[in-house]
Amino acid sequence: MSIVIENLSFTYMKKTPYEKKALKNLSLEIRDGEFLGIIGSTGSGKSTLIQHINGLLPCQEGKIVVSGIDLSCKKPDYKAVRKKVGVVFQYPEYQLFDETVEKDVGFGPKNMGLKEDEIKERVRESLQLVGLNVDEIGQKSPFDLSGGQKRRVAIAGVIAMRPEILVLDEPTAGLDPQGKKEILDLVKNLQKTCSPTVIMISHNMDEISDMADRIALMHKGELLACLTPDELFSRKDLVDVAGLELPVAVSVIQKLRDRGVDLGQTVCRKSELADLIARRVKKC
Amino acid sequence: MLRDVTFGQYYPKNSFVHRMDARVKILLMILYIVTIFLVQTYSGYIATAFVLITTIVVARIPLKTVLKSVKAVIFLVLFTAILNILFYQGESTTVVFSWWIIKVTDGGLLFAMQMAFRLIFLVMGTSLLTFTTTPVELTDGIESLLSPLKLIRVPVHDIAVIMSITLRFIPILMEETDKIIMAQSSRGADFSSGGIIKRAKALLPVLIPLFISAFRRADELSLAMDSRCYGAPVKRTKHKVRRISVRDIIGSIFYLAYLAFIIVDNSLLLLLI
Repeated sequence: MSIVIENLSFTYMKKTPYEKKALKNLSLEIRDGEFLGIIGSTGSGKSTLIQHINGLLPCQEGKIVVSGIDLSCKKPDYKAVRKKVGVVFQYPEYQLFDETVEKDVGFGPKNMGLKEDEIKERVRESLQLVGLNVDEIGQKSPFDLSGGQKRRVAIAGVIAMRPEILVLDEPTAGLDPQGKKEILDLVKNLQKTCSPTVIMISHNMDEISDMADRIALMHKGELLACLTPDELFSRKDLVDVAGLELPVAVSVIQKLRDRGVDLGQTVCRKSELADLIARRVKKC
Repeated sequence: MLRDVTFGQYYPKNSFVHRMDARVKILLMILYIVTIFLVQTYSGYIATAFVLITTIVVARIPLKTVLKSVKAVIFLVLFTAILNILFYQGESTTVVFSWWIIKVTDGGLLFAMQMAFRLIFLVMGTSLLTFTTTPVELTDGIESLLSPLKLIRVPVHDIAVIMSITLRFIPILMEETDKIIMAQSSRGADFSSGGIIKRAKALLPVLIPLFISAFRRADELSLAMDSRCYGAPVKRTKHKVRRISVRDIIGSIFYLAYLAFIIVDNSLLLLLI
């Protein structure tokens, strides 16, 4: 089941001098099995948008339906939608709290009202999915783990609820290059094994254009466009308005064009760029 | 959401009152509090209401916002009013209503009403100070007012820094709490159902990460302060040097006139008796 958002608007601290419009008349459809990237500068409304998807923020204006659950009606079924949508917030390791890793990962399933054995099973499974072993670290305090391990445990805590839709807010922030690669591989793997639909916020254009089927570009609370990476980065007008950094591949293509070599199309992935150049060189 | 707390929150405007010196505003607030407790006559209450409303209008703050701050103490006001009505007789003891040991007199009713109005005026007046003064100005003003205490080796500057850090961190920790609540509720945590014990237990997944992050922030802040030589034995200068302006003198005259009116009014009352 897909996510349908129509004319969604949201204002923080309504009717106070601190009032701030965070979303303006936003419409977007996210298909099943899709990997949607969301980009935009700080304060463009990305986080506000994802907080709507599992009902953390009430729908003020507009319509939003997630997997057939209407979140814009008077009394939305928040419990049901939170089972379907798992959200990994920024720096999720700061939300760990329990005595042991096992209990912390089991927090979500426990809240869902599952039985003891089922919880144990899910904890084992989700720790395994993030590349950790329950027998090794299950009884450790989550605060004794390394930074990268903490983040994995936090992600395991979300996927232990087996969400159909996984939402990640900058999952690679603050990690070293190796850690970043590991988390991105993990996300790819999770899409294959447990959560078919993935929504990911990122500030890294290479990362996002490598992973996403489509990218939603947000700017000052508005959705400027939702296109495939190649389409998006070939639109100079959009790139300029939002002040986007370009993926390495796109900037190489532009620099080649400046020097009189037109490759004819824009691609975002480095491997595709290599293909284009190789073909071009062989022709000569 | 937690962010929607209005009591004592700075209300950004660029009015006459906002631009007054914080020190003067603090002193005038103390003057106002003392004067309120001197008020004894109806004309005194009318004068207080006049002073309060004039200040609100000049500060260009919506009356509704100021009244909201009263909401926080409405329970206290009602509670004291009820106690006063039931158990205080006052000087005039015409019994209006009596039952068992309870005797309601008109003196008691009058006193209860006076006390209630005093409290409401008090809260509205004091909240005006924080509505029109940023926390930084406020601590700066307090530091300046307390500076004579430096002579007897009270660490006035450190106290001011501690105060401003505390005030600065309230919104940060609130935002943090909001974030953690969101993260835990998206993992199915339920904060609004069950008995008291269950609800208190449900707060643990919020409190523990909050404490950890507060300690982490404190650590980082102390490092940052250390690396900028906080506590070095040099005389510090101010970023913004404040001077008393015409505005402050006008404001002071207004409030002193109010005090004078109340005193004259009270002595007239004595003469009549």
